[in-house]
Amino acid sequence: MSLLKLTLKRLFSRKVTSLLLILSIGLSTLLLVGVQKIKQSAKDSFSQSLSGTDLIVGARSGDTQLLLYTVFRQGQPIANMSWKSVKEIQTFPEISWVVPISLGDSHKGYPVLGTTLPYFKHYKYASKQPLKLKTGRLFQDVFEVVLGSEVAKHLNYKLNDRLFLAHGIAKGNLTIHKNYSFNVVGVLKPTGTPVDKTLHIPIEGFTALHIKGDKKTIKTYDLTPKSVTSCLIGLTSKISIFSVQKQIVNWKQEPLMAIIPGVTLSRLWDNIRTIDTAFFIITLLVTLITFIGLLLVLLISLQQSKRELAILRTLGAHPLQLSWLLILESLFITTSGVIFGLGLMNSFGYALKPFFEEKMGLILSFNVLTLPELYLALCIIFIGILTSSIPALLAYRKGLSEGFVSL
Amino acid sequence: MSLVRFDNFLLNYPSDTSFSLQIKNLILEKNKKIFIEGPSGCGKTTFLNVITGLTKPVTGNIYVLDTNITALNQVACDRFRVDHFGIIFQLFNLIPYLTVIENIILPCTFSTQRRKKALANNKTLEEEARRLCTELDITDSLLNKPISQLSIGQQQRVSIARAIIGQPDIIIADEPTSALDDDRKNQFMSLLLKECNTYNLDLIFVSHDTSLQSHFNQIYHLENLNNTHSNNDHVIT
Ligand SMILES: Nc1ncnc2c1ncn2[C@@H]1O[C@H](COP(=O)(O)OP(=O)(O)OP(=O)(O)O)[C@@H](O)[C@H]1O
Ligand SMILES: [Mg+2]
Repeated sequence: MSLLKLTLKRLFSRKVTSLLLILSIGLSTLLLVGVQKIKQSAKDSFSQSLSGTDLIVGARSGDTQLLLYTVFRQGQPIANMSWKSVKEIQTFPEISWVVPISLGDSHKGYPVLGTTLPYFKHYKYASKQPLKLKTGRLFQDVFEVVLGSEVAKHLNYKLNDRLFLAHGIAKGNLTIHKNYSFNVVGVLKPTGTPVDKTLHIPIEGFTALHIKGDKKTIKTYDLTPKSVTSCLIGLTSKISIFSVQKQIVNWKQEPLMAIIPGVTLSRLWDNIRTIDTAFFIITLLVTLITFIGLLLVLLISLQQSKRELAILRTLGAHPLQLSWLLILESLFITTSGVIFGLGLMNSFGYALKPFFEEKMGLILSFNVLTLPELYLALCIIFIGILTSSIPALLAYRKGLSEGFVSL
Repeated sequence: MSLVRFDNFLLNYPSDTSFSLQIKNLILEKNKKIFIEGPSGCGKTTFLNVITGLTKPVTGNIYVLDTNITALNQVACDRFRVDHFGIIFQLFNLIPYLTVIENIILPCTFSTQRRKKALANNKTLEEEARRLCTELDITDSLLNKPISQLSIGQQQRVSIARAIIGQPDIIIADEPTSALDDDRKNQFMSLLLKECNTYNLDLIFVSHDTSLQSHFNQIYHLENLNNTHSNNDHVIT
């Protein structure tokens, strides 16, 4: 009979303790690796909310303020920039495209965004993924609206439904622009970005909302906006990014600023990181407690199995073999625990995936074990071996010392 | 060749100064059934620990089958013990989570010599263990029971099987009968002696129970052997 078989038999004889240990190590693994995973997904989804846009231009304020408001529709609204500036910036030779954005109105708590058709072509998220329609088409007329996936789902809108928009972005008693109803013509696919929560209308429609009249007379007006909230800019070549930024910052007509979204996004993420570190430390503590539990069980079992180890010694087992017995035992428990934990994470992940995607806008990839997660798992197993080395050393020393073995 | 030879031997426990075991000169001969007797606490278990190399003396040497086991290192001593000794304890001899058969073949896990000898008798270790079980009246129905459900008498018979598998040279028994009633005790003794005779094994048997003396042809009183108490040489009764 091999030492391994002996270990397994020994473990099996203490089913309840072993299973509880495997369970607790499994849960620690789930916590440790799961938190890591969610954090990574959150970071990815956050920093990739906007890709393919080289600069965001708006009235001068803080750069995080401009970013939060334009991309996430969060935080303090910023001052508008004039349409004239937008048009002039568009004539820069370095600039490939300009997409204006108007914000400030809402529908049942969801922000309304006025823009032009190129928005749907140039707005990219994650690894340069464009927006895609789930049903219907893009807007063509002033009073047409394209819904983000979450808006359509939660408010239960279908194509050709009619809806009214409200002035302001707070929830509750807002003045509703009753004179103009919008026709749902399209619904976008989910993206895991703020786009899912947005209603997209033509920028002319946005202007019309703020003009008294009705749907018939309004068409006679000039619906070109006077000003917009901000605009997204794509350059012909990335090299010109700083020179364009400089030209915009030095804009004579009005105070403007231009931010590089990626840079500001990662700076924002760094601010969140403190909370994130705290969370990680708590998880580490939980793991520590688990391993103290493991140590406790191993020490108690060593105490209880004195007689048994003595028998093995008199039958010729070397003290090192006794140590091996304990290390193998712990190795088996931690490895099964880790595998169980990873399995648990996958099945949880599978079950909770829709929840994460909908409620938090996190697209999680649970079925792949990334390299850092693999390291983390190996690390847990290593700590398990390290933990068992304490009772193993004790067993070795006791096995050597006189008086341990008595007939 | 002597079975066991003590040469200027002295042992005391650092933690227990009231006890010491000193044996200046003692030879235990081969081909004898040896009984070592003495009251509780006189050092019988200590004596067996010493001749099996589990406890090392403070001074002096012990020769087992002309090998100076005091001079052996840890690994060699462990190997020597399992190769040459079959050991039966007073109680709780068996590993509770192993089956009867697994318990019996355990010495063959650690000793290649005993594994070879066992395999010379039978094709597999399991078969050899089964054969010994039959000899020792351990019925097939007992083989699959957990150790904890075996009676003490049954457990002690399994211990005999484990001690004699692969035929070591010397069987050591430390009060193996103290938990058995008279009937069981006699059954145990006759089985043990029968097996020792069958395989021509030497037996060193330790007990405070003088009624067992009749089974043996050489009897020692440990108190008399211990020079700490008297300066006599060993006494043969
Ligand atoms: N490891 C040890 N450390 C210190 N003292 C010990 C140790 N083992 C035994 N002793 C002491 O040595 C003495 C002899 O013990 P031993 O176990 O050899 O007696 P024994 O004759 O086998 O007794 P019993 O018949 O009760 O089994 C006792 O006084 C005991 O307290
Ligand atoms: Mg004793």
